[in-house]
Amino acid sequence: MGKLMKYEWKKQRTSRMIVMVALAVCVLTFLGGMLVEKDALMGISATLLLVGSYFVVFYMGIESILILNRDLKTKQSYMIWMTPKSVWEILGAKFVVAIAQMFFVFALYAIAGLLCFVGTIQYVGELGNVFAIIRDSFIRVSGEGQLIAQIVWNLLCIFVGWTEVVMVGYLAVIVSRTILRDSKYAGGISIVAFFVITFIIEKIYNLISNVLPNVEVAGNSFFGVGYLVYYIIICVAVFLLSGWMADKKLSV
Amino acid sequence: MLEYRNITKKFGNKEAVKELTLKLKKGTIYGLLGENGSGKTTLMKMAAGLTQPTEGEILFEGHPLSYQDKASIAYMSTEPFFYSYMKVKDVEEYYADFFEDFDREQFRKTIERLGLNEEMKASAMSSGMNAKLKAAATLARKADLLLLDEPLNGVDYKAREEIIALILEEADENRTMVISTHLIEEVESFIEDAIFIKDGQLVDVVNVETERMTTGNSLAELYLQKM
Amino acid sequence: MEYNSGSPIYLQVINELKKKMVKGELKPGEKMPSNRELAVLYKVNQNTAARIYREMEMAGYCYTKRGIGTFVSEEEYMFDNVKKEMAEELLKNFVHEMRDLGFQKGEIIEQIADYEEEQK
Repeated sequence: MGKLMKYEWKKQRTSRMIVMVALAVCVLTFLGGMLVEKDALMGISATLLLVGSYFVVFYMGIESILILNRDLKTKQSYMIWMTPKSVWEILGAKFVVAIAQMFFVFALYAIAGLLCFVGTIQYVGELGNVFAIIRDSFIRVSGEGQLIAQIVWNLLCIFVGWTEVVMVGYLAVIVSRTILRDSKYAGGISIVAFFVITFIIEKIYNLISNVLPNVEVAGNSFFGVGYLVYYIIICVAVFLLSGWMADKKLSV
Repeated sequence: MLEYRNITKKFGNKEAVKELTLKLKKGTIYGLLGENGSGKTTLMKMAAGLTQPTEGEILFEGHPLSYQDKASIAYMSTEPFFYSYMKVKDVEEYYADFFEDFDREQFRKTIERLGLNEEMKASAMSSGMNAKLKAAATLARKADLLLLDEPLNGVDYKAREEIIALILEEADENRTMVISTHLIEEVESFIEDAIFIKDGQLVDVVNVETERMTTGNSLAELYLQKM
Repeated sequence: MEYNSGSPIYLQVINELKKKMVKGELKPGEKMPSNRELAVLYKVNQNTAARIYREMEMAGYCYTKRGIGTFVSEEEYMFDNVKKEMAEELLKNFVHEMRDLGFQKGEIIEQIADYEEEQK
């Protein structure tokens, strides 16, 4: 599977580069702002990084879904499907790379953003005070000493949530190339299916969460353990369903 | 070595292949002949594991076709299919990474012989050069079964001769080759058995030399008769 | 090499090789192309190449040294005989066709002489 991952990783090179360049620009703007003591620059770049971390994950995730579609629809599909690898290895490699990549860019942006945030507090007057107040309010809400654990936990849960969205996207693409293959509206239907499936998954969660034991993790976080467990199970189920469908019904 | 048992393939309501049964022997060059849309490509892709039959089964060396058999089966499509970012050397690395039977040395020699160099980008090549690159990569694999789909399409005369020479060098007694083509006169001298396909059904399988001996028909004449 | 329809390819290649031997283009004892090389040279598959060499060996035009290759026969007078055989085959067809047109023996020889004159 390693070889498959190697080539999957290459497919989003360009986007990764764009993302990294944008990251570099923000960081340089921040440092520049620090040098010339322009609060605005520092504030904007730090915020951009923190907010941007969500966008880049979204961007890379959606792109990986589009790449799967291309790998099933065009002649380039022959490249992976002619190799003596099982459907599970092929899809598995795609998932792992897509998720690793999303994690990688998210982490970079988030860490860069946090560092800028903390840096601002240390070095700059007014803006630093504003950021310090924001930080303090977070600490008050989450409890002393639990802030880091909180942040990590919340990020992890958000990340799993994103992973599930991407995997449902993959499932939608596979459905459009297997079951719906002969239908004219395959594209449209699979997009609708994507939203419907995502909606159903969330509805089920809401139903279950009332029944689940509400075990607290790291104090007062947004997500309970039930959330993480549920969505991990969903990810596995979606993967198995995708693989099964591709194995049985996929023709390129 | 390859057997199609009552194979049917439907795309929606259209039957691309209808209840087709066919057995292929080892060490033979087959010509797959038929009009556009007669099901030739579908047949090849099913043996290559790229397309699943709707009904029937395919046996390779006596067992049901599975993904592991792709290590011994090579399919070359008519159209270019390499990733657009790839250079010739990337194609070499890709094949080496996934196919144990890929002979890198031979690939390099063939590339040189055909006038390509490893820094050329696949997407920037002419159709003739692309055909040569595909052929070089596919034929550098020591696969037991090679399925070449219209390998001479859109290729200039000189490149065609070079690709044919490559095919003839590689087609030894251990390998089976299936070549689909319209250019019957080009392949007539080296096709052993001709498989005639019409509307997704098998019309006949004819041994070319035997036919010449008994009736004096060339392959082209035979084609006109059968189709 | 151009092949005509109507007769098997392997026979046409054998004929071509025989001609080369008779003309001295392939000399007695000379090493002939390998199976693979023959296949590429004459655009035939390797099975046909093998058959060509097999039949030629049976007829005595060449011999195979295992692991080394196939060589043109070194037998004395072998190709003189082959030349005569091939000439007879051509004459047989020629004379038959001429007779069919109504020419008698003497006339046939005249025709040949006239033709040769014109070609000078």
